[in-house]
Amino acid sequence: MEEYGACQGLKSSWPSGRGLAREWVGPTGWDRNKALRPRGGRSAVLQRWNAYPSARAFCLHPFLAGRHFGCTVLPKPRDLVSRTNPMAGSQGRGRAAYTFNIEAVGFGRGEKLPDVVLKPPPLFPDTDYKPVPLKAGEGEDYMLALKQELRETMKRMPYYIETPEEKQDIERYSKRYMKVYKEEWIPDWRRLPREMMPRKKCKKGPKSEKVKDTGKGASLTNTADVLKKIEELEKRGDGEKSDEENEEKEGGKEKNQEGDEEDDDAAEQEEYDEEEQEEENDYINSYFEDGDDFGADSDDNMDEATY
Amino acid sequence: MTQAEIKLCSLLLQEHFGEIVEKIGVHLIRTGSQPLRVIAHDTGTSLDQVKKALCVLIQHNLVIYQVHKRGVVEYEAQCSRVLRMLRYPRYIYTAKTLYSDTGELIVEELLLNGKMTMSAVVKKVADRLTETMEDGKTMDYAEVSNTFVRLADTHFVQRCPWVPATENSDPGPPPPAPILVISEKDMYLVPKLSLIGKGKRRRSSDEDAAGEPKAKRPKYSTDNKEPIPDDGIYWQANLDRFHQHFRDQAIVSAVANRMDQFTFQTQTSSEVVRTMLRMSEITTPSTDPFTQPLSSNEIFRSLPVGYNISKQVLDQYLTLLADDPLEFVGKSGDSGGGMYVINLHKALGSLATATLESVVQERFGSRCARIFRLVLQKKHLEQKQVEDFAMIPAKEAKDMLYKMLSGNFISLQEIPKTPDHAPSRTFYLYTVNILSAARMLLHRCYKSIANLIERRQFETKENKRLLEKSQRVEAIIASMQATGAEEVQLQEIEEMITAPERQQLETLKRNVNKLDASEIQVDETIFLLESYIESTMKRQ
Repeated sequence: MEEYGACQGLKSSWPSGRGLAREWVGPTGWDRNKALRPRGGRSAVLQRWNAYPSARAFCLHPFLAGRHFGCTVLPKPRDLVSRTNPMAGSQGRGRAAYTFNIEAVGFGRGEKLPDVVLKPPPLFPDTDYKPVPLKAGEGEDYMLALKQELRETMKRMPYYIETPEEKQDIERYSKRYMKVYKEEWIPDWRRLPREMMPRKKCKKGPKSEKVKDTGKGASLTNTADVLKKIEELEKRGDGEKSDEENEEKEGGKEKNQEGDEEDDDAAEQEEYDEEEQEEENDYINSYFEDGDDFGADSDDNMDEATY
Repeated sequence: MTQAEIKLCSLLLQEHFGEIVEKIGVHLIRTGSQPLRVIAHDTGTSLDQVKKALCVLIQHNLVIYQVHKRGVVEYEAQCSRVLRMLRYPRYIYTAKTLYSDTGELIVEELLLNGKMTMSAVVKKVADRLTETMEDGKTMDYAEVSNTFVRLADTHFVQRCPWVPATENSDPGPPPPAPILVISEKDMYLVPKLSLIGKGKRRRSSDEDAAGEPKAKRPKYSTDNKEPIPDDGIYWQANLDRFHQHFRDQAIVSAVANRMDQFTFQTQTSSEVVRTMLRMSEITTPSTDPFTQPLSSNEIFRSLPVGYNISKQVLDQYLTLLADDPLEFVGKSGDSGGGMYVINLHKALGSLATATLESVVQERFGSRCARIFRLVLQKKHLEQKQVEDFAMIPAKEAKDMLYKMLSGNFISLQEIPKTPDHAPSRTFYLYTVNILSAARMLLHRCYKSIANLIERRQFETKENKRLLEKSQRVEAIIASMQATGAEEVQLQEIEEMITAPERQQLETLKRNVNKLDASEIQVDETIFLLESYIESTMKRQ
């Protein structure tokens, strides 16, 4: 879309009334005819030019003004039109002199003026001067290492809230071992507005040591089942395997209790699913060593096929 | 907030806190102060998520809340505080240079957690330090506490506002949000705690890869059951004090560059300026344009021990500094052997100007820089005068001037001769408006950092698969070494990453390092420009 306005001053764009006419609406009102075809010579045009000082401030460089996008408002004095745009031909009233000293702007008389730029500057322009190298030193190296370390640490803090992922169709095996277990963080409720506290439908008490909340009855009976299973496994004496499961369950249970405070329905569901899956995998776990020892040790103990 | 700032805030929040917090934070920055339900409705996130995100943001001092009429609590984000997250490595490194590892870890914990109680900080830092020490040694809580007290005394950490304890119980319902207050004198008051103990080392079984559940650690150890002695007294890092320190550093290095060019002078003038700044650290608020006047005798007494220059030499240096055209130091009186002040506002202005000059030089060339400095010096110049003074041919001078003009480093001032403002009868003078040029440059810096971060994220995402593979290989090697594997097996595992892949990883690492280092250095420029703009706005 071509930019019109004083900057280009294409005579053909004046009277079409596309936008320029609208822009002539000023505080004084306007006469459509007058606006579209200013007659009355240079002084009349100049009067209008001077009547809009704010516009002038934008269009200080009529020749370079082609680069000023969105420079609306005034048409140029007609004399300049024919000069700047060779295509306009000699439609002007005469090839009169410029209204200002053209030498001052830097173009000699009769010189070809630079083309008007009609598009935004390129996205990756070539630079004549390459940037200087970065500062290097002990302090800078240390800060760099610190920055990268902080980035990693922040991801593991409880303040980093993960977006809940959609359930994938296939549970990847490696996912269990790449989960980052985070410490729970409980804000100090005394410092926060009351509406921040998680609301429970039927909340009995705020203490986390209390095991049961009626709202959580369903998942906790599940936990109770799981705990019973743990005891059974312990009696079987599977050593470190059940320890690991035990602690996983404990982690799950603790998370469950901490989840009371957080009141995260999504987390509840996740925990519930997690325990469910753990239950399913209990059976398999008791036959099969965990993934940490997959490469090296398990070959020693087990000749059975992997499941 | 400009679009560039909002974009940068969005990138920073996402990197540090995840997408949900980012969404809420950016929404608050864009729309200003809003109540909870409106936030949830406008962003389309569930109320729970919004609450969690707001808790995190409030904890890190990025969002504040206010109670409005009819009990509505509104939350407001602090965009400038979000941008400070870029500077965390610099704060931590500064703490390290001043208070060594202990101070460094204290500041790191405070920055990562937003606010913490003193006992929690001390415990965590002691544990971390103990891990890095040799076997058998532990870090005592007392030492960490001492460093903490020193940090509080020099105002690098400060107390957070707290809920005032009301003696009479409120007859009505409790307020919707607590009003937090703090008084000036309490801000650095360290509670009397007797923290006795030593840092605990983590058990070696916990040193496995990240897959180890942290729940293995004793969650319900005895420590949690005891009442915390300084419950409710939270501390945070005092960023303004760090900024004051950076500003002092910048001034001292500027003086050193200018005056201590000859090595045999042993950096005396910068030392003098540093002493003066140190003396006015606590007495002068950082936003003042001048420090308090200091007499030459006081300065002489406060010079660091081991600096044996005589009084006359000190006086000579002070006179030299005061007469320097840079005007960092000014003489404000003659009592006490001469009263001297440091002109902070001028100093910041000089630093900002130097930054601008250097940018012009690097971007447009040294001849443009000459013209720029010329216009700076002479304030207003016509086109013809520029060509004459700079001794550059007319055509090139015009070209350079217009280049700088379109880059908004130089602006035009028109002075009409006739009331009708005819262009042929108007003077057009070139001038440099430092404040607006500084603002323009600052805006550009924000854009650059946003670009740098995006590019870094893009590079990391492209090579994500390769990075994960290399991490897995490293984890396997580490576990194998722990269980005592042979060299041959380790070699085999290492060969899982092929040579071209190694090359790719090297390139990636180099690029990411470069981008990170660039971010840190652009942040230094941001600091200078922001300080200058802030100081100028305060004076107006």
